Amino acid sequence: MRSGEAAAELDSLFECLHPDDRALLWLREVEGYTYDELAKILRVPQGTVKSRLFSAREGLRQAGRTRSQPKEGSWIA
Amino acid sequence: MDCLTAEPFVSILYDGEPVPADALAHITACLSCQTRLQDYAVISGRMHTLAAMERAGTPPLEAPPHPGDRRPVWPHPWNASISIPHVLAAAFALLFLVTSAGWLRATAARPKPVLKLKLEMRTTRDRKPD
Repeated sequence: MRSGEAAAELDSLFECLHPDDRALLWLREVEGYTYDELAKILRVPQGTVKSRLFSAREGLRQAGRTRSQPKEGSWIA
Repeated sequence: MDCLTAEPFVSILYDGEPVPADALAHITACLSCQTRLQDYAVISGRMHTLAAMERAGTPPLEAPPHPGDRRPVWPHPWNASISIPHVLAAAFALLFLVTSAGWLRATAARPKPVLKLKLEMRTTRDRKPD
């Protein structure tokens, strides 16, 4: 799978995430904000940032698994 | 520590933040947690690709016009062109055709003007007395 197609697939998988989680993951992964900065931006404890990031990543991972239905191991083709 | 307990720490470890030693030990040794870590890396890579695609597809931002250079929104110059929807243009054309056809039919049906003279003959008895 080419990187563009993979990114487009991820874009569609994003739909399954809550908009807040999507934004949080984007701020962390793409914009590079630290936990402390994210906590200040969102006005939540760092623990909440951590758990929501974990939740967002797992949401994407599970959505990818459900869509691709791999035989075993990673859902990434 | 088992995978269920260590799962949240995989995300934290991926972000480069410190995790408890026992969680780190489990993640390092556990194949399932390693797979999870790899998946997070791939998700991150795809997000960066997506971000790069979005940046490439976004037109460059233009500098806002200087307040003194701002052209008035109204009135437009008389020869300025405006864009209207195709359906509106078609509606105008149809209205023009229908109106023209109706005017032509009405013109054709109207009787031509003729000069009419009415002659009356009056006698002196019909005259009112002064």
